[in-house]
Amino acid sequence: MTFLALTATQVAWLCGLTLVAVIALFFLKLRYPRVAVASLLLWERVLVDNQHRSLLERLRRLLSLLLAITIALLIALALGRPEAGAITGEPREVVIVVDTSITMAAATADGQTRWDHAREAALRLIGDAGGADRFQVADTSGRVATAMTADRSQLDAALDRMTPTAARPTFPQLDLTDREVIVVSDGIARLALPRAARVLSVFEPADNVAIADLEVVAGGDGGGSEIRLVVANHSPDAKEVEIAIEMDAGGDPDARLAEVVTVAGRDVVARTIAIEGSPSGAILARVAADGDALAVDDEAVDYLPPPRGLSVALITSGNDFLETLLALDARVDLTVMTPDLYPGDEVVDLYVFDEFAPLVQPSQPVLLFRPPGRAWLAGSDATAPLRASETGVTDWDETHPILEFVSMLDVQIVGARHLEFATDAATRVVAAAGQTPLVVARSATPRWVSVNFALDDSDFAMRPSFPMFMQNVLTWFAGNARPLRRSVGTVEVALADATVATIDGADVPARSRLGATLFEAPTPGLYVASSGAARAYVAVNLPAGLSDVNGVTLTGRDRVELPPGRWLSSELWTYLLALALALAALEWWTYHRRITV
Amino acid sequence: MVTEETLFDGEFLKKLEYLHIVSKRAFAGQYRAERRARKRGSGLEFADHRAYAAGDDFRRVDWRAYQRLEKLLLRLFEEEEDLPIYLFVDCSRSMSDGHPTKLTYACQVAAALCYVGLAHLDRVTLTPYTDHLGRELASQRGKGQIFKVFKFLGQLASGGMTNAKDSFEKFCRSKRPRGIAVVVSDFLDPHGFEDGLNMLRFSHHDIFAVHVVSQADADPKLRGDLQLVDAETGSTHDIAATPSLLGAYKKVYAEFCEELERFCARYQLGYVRTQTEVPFEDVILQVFRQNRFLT
Repeated sequence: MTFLALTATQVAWLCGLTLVAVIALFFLKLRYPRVAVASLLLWERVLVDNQHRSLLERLRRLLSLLLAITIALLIALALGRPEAGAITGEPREVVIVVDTSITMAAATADGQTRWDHAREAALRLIGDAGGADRFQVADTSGRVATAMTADRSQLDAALDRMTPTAARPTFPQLDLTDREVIVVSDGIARLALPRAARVLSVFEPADNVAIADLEVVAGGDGGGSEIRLVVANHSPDAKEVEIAIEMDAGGDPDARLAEVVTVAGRDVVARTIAIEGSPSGAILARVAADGDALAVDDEAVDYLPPPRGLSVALITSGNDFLETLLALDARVDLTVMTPDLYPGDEVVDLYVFDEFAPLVQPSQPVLLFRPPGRAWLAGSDATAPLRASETGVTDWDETHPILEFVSMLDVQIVGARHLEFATDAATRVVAAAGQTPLVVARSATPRWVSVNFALDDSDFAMRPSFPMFMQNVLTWFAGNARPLRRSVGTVEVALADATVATIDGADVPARSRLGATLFEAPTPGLYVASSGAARAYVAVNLPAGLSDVNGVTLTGRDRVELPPGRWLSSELWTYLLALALALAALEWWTYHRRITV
Repeated sequence: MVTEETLFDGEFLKKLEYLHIVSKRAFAGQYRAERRARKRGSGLEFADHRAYAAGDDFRRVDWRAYQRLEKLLLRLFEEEEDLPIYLFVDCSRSMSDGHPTKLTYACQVAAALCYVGLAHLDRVTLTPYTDHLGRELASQRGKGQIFKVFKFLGQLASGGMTNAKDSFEKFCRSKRPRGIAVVVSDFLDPHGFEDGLNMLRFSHHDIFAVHVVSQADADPKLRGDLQLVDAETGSTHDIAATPSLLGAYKKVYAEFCEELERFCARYQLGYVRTQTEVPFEDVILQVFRQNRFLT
């Protein structure tokens, strides 16, 4: 037996002193209350008759003394918080990591979900543990993590706060030294588990049909758009899948597709629907199949912005890439001039400056390629020092509207101007080569985008992503940007202090952080973020690849089985105190019946 | 201490006037009162004849009988005499128990009997006793003496131990006329109640034992560990007042009362047991009547 609160010597001293004190107090002659009676004549007769009980009287006193000593020693021992491994088990420190990836929301055959099973398993691990065992619970979304504690209510509350989410699951950063690690998971998520971690699996095979991708692509030959839908069947067997696509322009939904297709087991089917004319609005796709275990991936949304013509003035000394690309865009009414003919601010929708920048900022949005230093542009002037840039793009922000779907991987750049941009909440470096900003965007009106290298100094214009970049910039400047595509969970929009609402107009709680706005989108849906005149549509869908509810990746790990219920699950001192209380009650009962004294 | 005001009120005294002490025997007395005496004398009611002897009063010769029988016979008349009543009040410390105290209650009983006796012209003597006889209130006759009785009783206080044998022995040696001896006591005598009563019995007194019992004596409400203190001797005894012990005590007390009652019955002594908690008026008017003490 060990003691958690005192040393064994201290407990021995405490017990010894308690024993002496109890015996001394017991034999301390207390003066009984004196009661005058008329005569002891008759009392003496009674007491003489009761003389034969003297032996019993001594036994009663001995019994009382034993009870008092037992009660006092139990309390003294309880103060030392004793632990006996044979009775309550050795105290442990256990870290329980509960997988909150989205596949944990998959339904199981008993009508519950994998998450329900995982939570029950975690609660049972905690509830059946010894009283001295301490636990730390955390999820894989990084939202919930407790300290190491023996407080069951705190642990239960933490488990209550957890819920499956589409956030990328990662193993939480915890101190695992000398601690038992148990991961409660269905084994689908790819978690970098520590070596000592053991897995308590709640996996159960399930059928799932999901929308793997929904995308509205503008730019057909006729200038129209296309809806591309990919449906995946993660079930082992073929499924009859009902597919429905609707377009909601603000009135009654316009059904664009409604059909039933057979999708083979572990296979995908794709559908493309051409959109004639110039419609705009929300696009909602749904799939349904019997036995579908996961509902969150059965819907997907996108948004088709209204088309708009743009008058663009290109000021360049000669750039075939820009001229050709802008001339081919059906939305663009292009005017080309050399810098010496730049008339100053005139009525166009936007400017494109190639290796040129006026001294005064135009009142319209501006796209600049390798601009010279200007006060309005970078907070520096033309004499700003220039440094050779690195030759490759090392970092870019795909979440920014102008770089959406734009890959700058392997883009080669010979040289770029190194302008010292005064970055603030409205001005962001969205692509850089080391410390050299390559693409800088300012969201404050009037907007501008500065590409700090010349197209002749890089192969960016030769890349497939360049037209997409130009289209993104024009769309961003036009103010009716293509929808931002985000995953369910915490959504970040590059608008400062924006208000967020659903497409139906319901407000969504949002918070600002570092010039961006964040809000929670637990299910697929279309949201609108507004900040001043700027407005962005956000299509939130489940990321592709998270719907495979049968793709177990956690294999070869030690498995944990739920332990059998333990009879004594609390600390030993609680039982000692309970026993002392019971004995005190017994002593009280016997005292009042004169069984003890 | 008993005061006169606590003994009786006027209404109660009025009721007592109609009560009558009945003696089971006739006793000789010094004064004519309202009871027939064994002694023949100058009363109005004819009792018997006897032969004339020299010196007899000629006026009592029955001349009609002489004419018929030619013998000188003297007419004898029953003489109505007063009755000596000796009231013994136990004033030992054990009588200080109860609410009201047994002594108060005993004084009320004694006062009531005194009043009845005085009202019927009996000679009443009040004698307190403990382990010795106290100063007595000498023979009184007539209702007007009741205030002396009240004053005397009002001055009684409990104290000392009980020894009825020694007390009554001293009384009997004083050659008192035979009469009714009423002993008002709790009879908790360390030397036993028998010797004291026998002492009076051997002196041919007609004895009434008024056994005054308090609730504390009969059914003590004790609880827990206690040290009992004898009110008379001061001796102590530790007890654990368990229900079984209290039950045993009550049983012993009941046996004690039965012993006293059996003793009185065996020797034809009057016996009355009353509790101090019983209203005193009820005791006088009902309990005594049920026991034929008063008519």
